[in-house]
Amino acid sequence: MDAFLSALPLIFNGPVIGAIGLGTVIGLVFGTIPGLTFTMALSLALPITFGMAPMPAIAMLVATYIGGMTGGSVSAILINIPGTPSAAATALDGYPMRKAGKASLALSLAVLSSTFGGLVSLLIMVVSVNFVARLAIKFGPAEIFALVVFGMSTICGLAEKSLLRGVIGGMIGLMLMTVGLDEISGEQRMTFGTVTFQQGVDLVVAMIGLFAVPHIITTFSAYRAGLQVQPNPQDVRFELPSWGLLRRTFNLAMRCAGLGTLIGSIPGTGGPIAAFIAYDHARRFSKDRSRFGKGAEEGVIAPETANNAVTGGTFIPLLSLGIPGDPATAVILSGLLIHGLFPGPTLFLEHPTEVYGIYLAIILAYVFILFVQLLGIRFFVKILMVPPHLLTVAITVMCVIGAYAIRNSVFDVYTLAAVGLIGYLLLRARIPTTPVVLGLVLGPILEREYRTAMILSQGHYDIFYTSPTAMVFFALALLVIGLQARASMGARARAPASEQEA
Amino acid sequence: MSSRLRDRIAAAALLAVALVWIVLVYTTIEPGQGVAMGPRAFPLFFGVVLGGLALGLLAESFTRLHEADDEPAQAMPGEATTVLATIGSIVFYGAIMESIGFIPSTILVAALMMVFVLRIWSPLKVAAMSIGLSLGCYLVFSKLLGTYLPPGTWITIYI
Repeated sequence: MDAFLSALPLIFNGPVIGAIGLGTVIGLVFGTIPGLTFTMALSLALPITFGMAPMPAIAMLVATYIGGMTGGSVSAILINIPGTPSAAATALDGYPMRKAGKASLALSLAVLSSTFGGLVSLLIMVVSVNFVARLAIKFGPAEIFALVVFGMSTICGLAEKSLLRGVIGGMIGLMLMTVGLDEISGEQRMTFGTVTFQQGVDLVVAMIGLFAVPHIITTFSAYRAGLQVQPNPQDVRFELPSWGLLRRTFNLAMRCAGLGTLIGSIPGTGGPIAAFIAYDHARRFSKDRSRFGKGAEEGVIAPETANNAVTGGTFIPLLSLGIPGDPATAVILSGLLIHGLFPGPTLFLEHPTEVYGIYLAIILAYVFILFVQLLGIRFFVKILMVPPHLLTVAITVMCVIGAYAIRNSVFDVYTLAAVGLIGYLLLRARIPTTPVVLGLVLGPILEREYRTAMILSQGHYDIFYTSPTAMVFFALALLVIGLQARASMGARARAPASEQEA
Repeated sequence: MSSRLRDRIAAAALLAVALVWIVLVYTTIEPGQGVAMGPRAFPLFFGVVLGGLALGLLAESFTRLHEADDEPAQAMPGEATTVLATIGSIVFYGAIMESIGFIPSTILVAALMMVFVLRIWSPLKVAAMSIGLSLGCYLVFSKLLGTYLPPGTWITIYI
């Protein structure tokens, strides 16, 4: 309690509050623009903090991270292009909500869910940091591989009407991510002997291509054919979620917050996995699954709660063990080290005041985000009044900038075009592109963890079946696949029967 | 085009991709040594699975008794041209961006898209949109957010 009370004046002062405000805005802007990641925002913010006192510096980095994680949903909802990979699942129902004239409702649900998820994960972190850290550290390659297999099983839920097509999409995503240098052996794969191909397909670039390019083509085609839908003033109507909706979805949000915190605490996993698993969880346990993909509020609440709960989760191994879970937290770790805080078990004993300061900074960052985003919704939705064909020219330019900015490489611009064309052709062939994204996200982790597990076990498969945690995830994956296969076969059997009746 | 025919074309294309992939993987990637899997295993496995799934899609198109009820909307008139123009614009943008720099390349590509893709012929509208977009993006991304945008190697414009 003493440490908490001493942390209050550390945080509630002008420089720290200013740093949190600035960090939040930087994170939000980078998170919102497709291609500009919050890791880039953190890299930009880190040098700014060099001249600052430790607490404002760390608060700014934390706020940038949280702002970036939250901002990805804005572009996912408004233009169907996720600002960050973590927001890809949000687009599934967020964009249909915007098309149904509920843009501001979707945006406000996203920010409320994000704040809720972030704060619940912080609470879990404060209460159980030691326990969760011990649990998370037990996740070796075999357990992470099993978790990723379980994550891949959510393709079943994203496959829309055909499991076969969903798996095809997932497989294409997995294949794309094998291009480039092999992470383990350094061997070149599918590079055709060129240096440029060695950098491989970047996840964010591929995601922009898959979501943005088909959207650009469809908008331009509709304009040329005279079929463009004119902006509707109803689309910019300001609407907040009702208490009834928030009450009804409270339990779902709590479950997704727990899920996100747990997944976030496992190094090497991250927001996209948590968001997709939470989305699938919401769909699977919904009384009316048919609403998903067509603008279900739960389809925004679940992924947004989970991906922001990841922020609290990632701080567990970061602070208690000094292990960063992803590149973004690695930048935060360097910020902590630069300012004399050495994460690990002794951090809580030697610097309890600073640890509580970080907790309070997280709370303040979420309060800032809540206000900035809720106030900003009225302005964000104004973008929908811009004629779609002109907005799409601007989106094309921004997508190219985003793709180029990832690695300052023209190769990424060509990748954007190629993956975009693949995405368009897949949609024409009725193959959903969301499983492709899941394959892109999970592919590298799947391969790396499996091969690491096999190296550790010297080629013996007992590393998988002697781990109870891994077996639980494998069993869950089998259950999900079995249930979906049964539902697909049932639907196939019913279709001809209903045709005959007709 | 019926959904069955569309599926058969898609399955054939996917099968071709899988076969080419498998051949390339087999001939260009080393299998690796030791007890652990080498770099070839996963790409090869994915290619084989994709081939199997493509055959599954082909078989489904023959065994399905009814037309698909989630048929995508028919292609809009001139959609193929739009696809080529859009993809071509992005590739062209990438090709000239580092040579002539961000600002001129953005002005050029935005103007070309306005004229050839959107068929907007008004010089004022085209100039306003392309120059405004180019300068706006430059100021926001380069000056405000600190993102690197290529200044150009043939001609260099600094603001």
